[in-house]
Amino acid sequence: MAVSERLRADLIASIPNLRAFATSLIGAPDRADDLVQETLVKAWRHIDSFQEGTNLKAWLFTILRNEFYTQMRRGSREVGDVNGAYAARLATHPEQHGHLDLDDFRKAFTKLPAEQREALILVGASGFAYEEAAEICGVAVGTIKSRVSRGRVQLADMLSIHEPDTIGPDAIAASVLTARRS
Amino acid sequence: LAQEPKQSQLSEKTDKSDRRRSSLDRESRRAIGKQLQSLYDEVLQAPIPERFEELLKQLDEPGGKGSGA
Repeated sequence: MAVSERLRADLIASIPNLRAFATSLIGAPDRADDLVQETLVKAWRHIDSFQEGTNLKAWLFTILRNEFYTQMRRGSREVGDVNGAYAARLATHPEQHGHLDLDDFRKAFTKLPAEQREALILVGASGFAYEEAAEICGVAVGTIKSRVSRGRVQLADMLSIHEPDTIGPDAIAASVLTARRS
Repeated sequence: LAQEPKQSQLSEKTDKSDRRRSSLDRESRRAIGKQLQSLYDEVLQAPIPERFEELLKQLDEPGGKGSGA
C-alpha cells in the first residue's frame, strides 16, 4: 500500500497510545492488542482516506473505537471480562500503594459504562480536547462533558472521595492538603 | 416552532442537573485525574509486544494484510 515512510513511522509511534486506549475499553491485555492489531490493519487498508497533516491519532482512535463497538454489537467481545483481566494485572504491580490506591481506582474504573470510560480517558489521559473527543465518539461536546463529569462523580462515590466539608478522615486529609498548599 | 426549545436551552438544562451531581471539589478532581493518567501511562510506557513487529512486516508486503479491502 502507498504508505509513506513518514506516515508509517507515525503509525508505529501511535501504537502505545492505541494500546492504552484499547486497554481502557477492554481490559484484557491480549484482547486489547487484538483490537489494536485490527485497527492497524484497517488503517493501512484505508490509508488513502486519511488526509496527511490532520490528526492521525484522532483518526486512529476513531477507527479503534468503531471497531470496538462493532464487535461489541456482534457479541464477539465479552466486555464484562474487563474486571478479571485487570485483577490479573494487579499482581504485577505490587509497588503501587499510594494515598489513593491505583488498584482500587482500576477496579472502580472498570465498573463505569464504556461511554464514561472512553470520555474520561480521551479527555483525562490521552490529551484530547473536549471537541476532539466529541468528534472521535460522534457526539456533541456537551455529551462528552457530561459523561466526564458523571464518570468523575461515580468514581468519587465508589472510592469515597468526598468534598472537603464532609466530616471524616477525608476532610482532615483535604484540609491538610489545602494548608500545605497555602 | 417558537415553542420548541433551542439547543442551547436544552444543554443548559443538562448542565444544571449535572452540576448538582458533579460538584466535586478541585482536590478530588485532581486526585481522579492523576489516577486516570497513571492507569493510561502504565500501558503507554510498556514495551510494545513483538506481535506488532510481525504485523508491520506483513502489512508492508505487497498483497499482504494491508492491501485490498
